[in-house]
Amino acid sequence: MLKIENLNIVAGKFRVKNLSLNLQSGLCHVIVGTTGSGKTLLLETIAGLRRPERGSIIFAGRDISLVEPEQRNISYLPQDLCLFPNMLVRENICYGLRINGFGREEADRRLQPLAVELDIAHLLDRHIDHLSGGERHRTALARAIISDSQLILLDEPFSSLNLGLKRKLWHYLKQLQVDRKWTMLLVTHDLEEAQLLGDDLSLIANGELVDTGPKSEVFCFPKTVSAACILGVENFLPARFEVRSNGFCEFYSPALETKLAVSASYPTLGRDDMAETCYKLGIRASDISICSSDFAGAIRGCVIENIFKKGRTATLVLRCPQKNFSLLVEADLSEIVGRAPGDDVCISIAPGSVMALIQN
Amino acid sequence: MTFRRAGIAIALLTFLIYAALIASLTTFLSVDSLQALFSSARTLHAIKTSVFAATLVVFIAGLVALPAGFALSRHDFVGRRIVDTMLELPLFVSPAALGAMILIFFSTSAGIWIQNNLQQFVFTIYGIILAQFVAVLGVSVRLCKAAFDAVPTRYDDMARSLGAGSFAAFRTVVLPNARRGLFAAAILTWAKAMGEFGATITVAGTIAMRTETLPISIYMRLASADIEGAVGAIALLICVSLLVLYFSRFISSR
Repeated sequence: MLKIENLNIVAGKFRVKNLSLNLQSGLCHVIVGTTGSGKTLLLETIAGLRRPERGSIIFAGRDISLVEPEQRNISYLPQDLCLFPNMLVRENICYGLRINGFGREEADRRLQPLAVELDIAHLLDRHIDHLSGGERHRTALARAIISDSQLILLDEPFSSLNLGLKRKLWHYLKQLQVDRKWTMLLVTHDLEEAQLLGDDLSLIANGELVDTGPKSEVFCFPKTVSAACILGVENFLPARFEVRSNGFCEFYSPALETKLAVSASYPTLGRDDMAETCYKLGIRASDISICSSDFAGAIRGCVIENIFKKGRTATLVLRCPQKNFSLLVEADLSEIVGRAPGDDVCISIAPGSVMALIQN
Repeated sequence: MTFRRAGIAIALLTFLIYAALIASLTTFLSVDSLQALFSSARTLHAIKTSVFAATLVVFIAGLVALPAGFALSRHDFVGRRIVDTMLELPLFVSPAALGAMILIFFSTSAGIWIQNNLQQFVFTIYGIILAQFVAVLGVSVRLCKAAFDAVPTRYDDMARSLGAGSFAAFRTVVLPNARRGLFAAAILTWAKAMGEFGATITVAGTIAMRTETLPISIYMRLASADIEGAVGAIALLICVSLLVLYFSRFISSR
């Protein structure tokens, strides 16, 4: 559907470098990246609002990298929404339809159900200035999806909404996307949003593609430290590959003074130069738990440095046996009853949760 | 005295300067002289000429200033800086020099051909219009550019990504959102054309009942020591201008 090849975009001193992506028809492709990673530049270039320096954008079989934006048939919802202040909500939403020659009645016929679903039916005759933040978002979303374009680009469409409304809109948008087989490219830094809406996932950092692939693969098996960073993995421990046995690869972690096992099927393992490769083990804070010292596989010698309570859980900062390293641990309050900073604790790591990441 | 108070005091002072000047007119203003002024066909003609020329100049300048201001606001092109600098020329060069330049142009072979075959400008109302047009065009383009600059380019981009061609985006999104700025530009252009004197008198001369605008009328009355007539004409010019400015503010605030 959309194939981006070796795309280079220059904006001042920042550049997107040799980015290649492949969007499949009827799926939602999510791009996750830190702020300033070039996500918006990429969407603007696909929408035709920027000229790429090099590379091609093949959409529905033709190279559109130099085609005028109005001839691309791509809907775009920018982060700043960009609603037109001189128009009513109704006129804003139907702008694309009307300018493309649809009659008022046809535009209205499409508008009504969408407005009801997005809960803006009562706002249609208001001016943009008289809308709340959430209402503006829903108006802009309606404008982006009403034309049933072949490709819909969404730049952090829900970033400033409250969680309840966000979740409601996620489900609504996902349902619509699946029902109407829309191809969507969504940019976000919200991992929950990415997991819920995405079929495929790409990670970008500093203008470069870090990883791309089916959502489950990219989420569960990050290959590099920067990919894991974008995915919110909290703990990175340097490690040395030791031995491969019974479908597992064993690594020695100097920080924890212990061996940790990673499934041999992990994408970064199974290569010939594992002994020479510089690995870091990635562990999510939620995959580490506090346990008693007699628990099989308990890692001893950690000391609680700090406890940050939040609702029913707490984040613990632990000093590792090797003192230069610390770990973040997410624990239920019930697990840490009676514990205080300075206490020695034992930890256990959920089986299969350790990631073998290549340092890049 | 705080910075805030000092600022307000200076703002009031600027008002007082003009208020004092206007108030001083009353010394020579009498009901009789005003009556005489309004009953004179010459004065009425001067008013008509001034309002007609200034209004026409706004439309002609608008035809040029709208596209030019938009291009300067949105596009980067070869010679953009030169054009931008040239727009300030009428502000720096004295209006009399501007008028003289127009006269000199009409004494070149191209100018003579135009005068003989197309339209006589020197010493006619067309000369007034041309002189005012040349005098206000720079400011007019500048103001239009500023009005377009106030509309984020994101709007053009968004309209185009929704399927509007560049002219449709301009017509449906940029122009309506720049309307206040453009309206203000038109009013200021009109006011500047109304008050234009130097270039107008150089090109069109001072022919009573033909090329006499209100400012020229003031000058001619002063020159012939008709102080009361001059004061009346000044008062008239102020009234017409204030009236237009007030109504334009009123309309643009709605």
